[in-house]
Amino acid sequence: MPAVARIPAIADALGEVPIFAALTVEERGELASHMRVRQFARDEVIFHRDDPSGHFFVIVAGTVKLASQDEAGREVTIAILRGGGHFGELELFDDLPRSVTVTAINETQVLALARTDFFAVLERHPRAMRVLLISLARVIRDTSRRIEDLVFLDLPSRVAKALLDLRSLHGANGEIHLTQEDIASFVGATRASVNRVLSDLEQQGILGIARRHIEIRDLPRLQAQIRY
Amino acid sequence: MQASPHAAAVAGLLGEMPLFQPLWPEERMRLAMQMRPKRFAKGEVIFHKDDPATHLFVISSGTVKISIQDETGREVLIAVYRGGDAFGDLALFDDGPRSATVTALTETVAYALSAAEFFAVMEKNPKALRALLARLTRIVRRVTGQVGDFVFLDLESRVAKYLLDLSEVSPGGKADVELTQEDLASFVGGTRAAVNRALADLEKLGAIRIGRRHVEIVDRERLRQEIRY
Repeated sequence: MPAVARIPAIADALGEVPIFAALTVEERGELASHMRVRQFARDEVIFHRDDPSGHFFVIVAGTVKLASQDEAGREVTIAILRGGGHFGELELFDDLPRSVTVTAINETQVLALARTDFFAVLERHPRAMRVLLISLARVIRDTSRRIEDLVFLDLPSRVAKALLDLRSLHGANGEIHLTQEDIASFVGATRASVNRVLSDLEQQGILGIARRHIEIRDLPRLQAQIRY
Repeated sequence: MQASPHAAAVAGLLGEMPLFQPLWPEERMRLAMQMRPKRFAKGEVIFHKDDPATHLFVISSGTVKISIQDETGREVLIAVYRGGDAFGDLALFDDGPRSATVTALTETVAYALSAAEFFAVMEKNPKALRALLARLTRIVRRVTGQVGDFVFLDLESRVAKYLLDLSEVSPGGKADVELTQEDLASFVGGTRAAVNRALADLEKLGAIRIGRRHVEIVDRERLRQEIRY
């Protein structure tokens, strides 16, 4: 798609986004006229942690990673989002700089909406506000579950669980388009120890590992790897 | 409707909470008239993880902990809330079951408010909805920070950071944290023995003083220095 998409095309894309699904066709058209399409290449950064915050983003196509880094450059992935997902709203609510770095994992197209336009939509549409509240509650649930996993599960269990979670994000074909480094950052471990777990799973015939993706070959046995 | 002195007191409590401050006094009174006090003994469970969620709670007095337990009884503490805090609202948004267990740490009085009544009032007031968004945003930031802490920080740093965080959310910034060492171990995700060692080290450095059921923060700056990334 060209970088400057036409407004009707944007309005159509918005219909697929849960937070805007409650809007009428006319309202989506109006909103679309305020949104800008932006295209990001694989590994391109959409915004950095500590950047000033001005926009809310909706993913039209592609996959992004939300991660925070410590001073030593170590990284932990907070979430992975794909088409229909949204990000960047938190900092608009509390007026703070960006709390995470967002990077495109593959070629990604997003719609950007400026702060004032975003709040105008929320104030006019209580339904959209409700959906947004629900999505924040879900982020809290998911993140609490990650903490639970970090405390209760050993590394092989966390890797197996991450592969299963990420698989549901990538559709039913059982292929996960992530590097081993991405997975290490997701489960909170070093790349070396995650590589050991992955090659162990490969030797057992549970996974097939390629350079930029991982294929799940035996789902029930992968599920059986999660030990509480 | 005639407001009882009891409802007026509850409305007053709501007026001091950021979540309910944007409401009009009549709206707070409408909520207050629906809220009934519930008393919980020390150690009593207010609700269990996976229970159906129908109410949110406002703490009038006492302290509660929000935690998750696994089948073997291991526990991770998510947060500690005190008088003037609300809890139990998360599951009301997506109609899901309770995501954590809430237990009274001390004798606690909390007012229960039904989801239907809560949303009926909040949804009519855009400022209140913004306050609700701000509240959820703060929680998202806190849990996101916790994920980073578990990955990046060693145990002693996590203990130091947790004590600082907790003292900062205490009323009046009181540098006195009412928690057993077992609660603390559960929060930072370590064994009780390892946490006891970390606490003893921090006490030797003069950063804290350890009592039987509480930890006193003596030197905040020293404690901050012990958080090593």
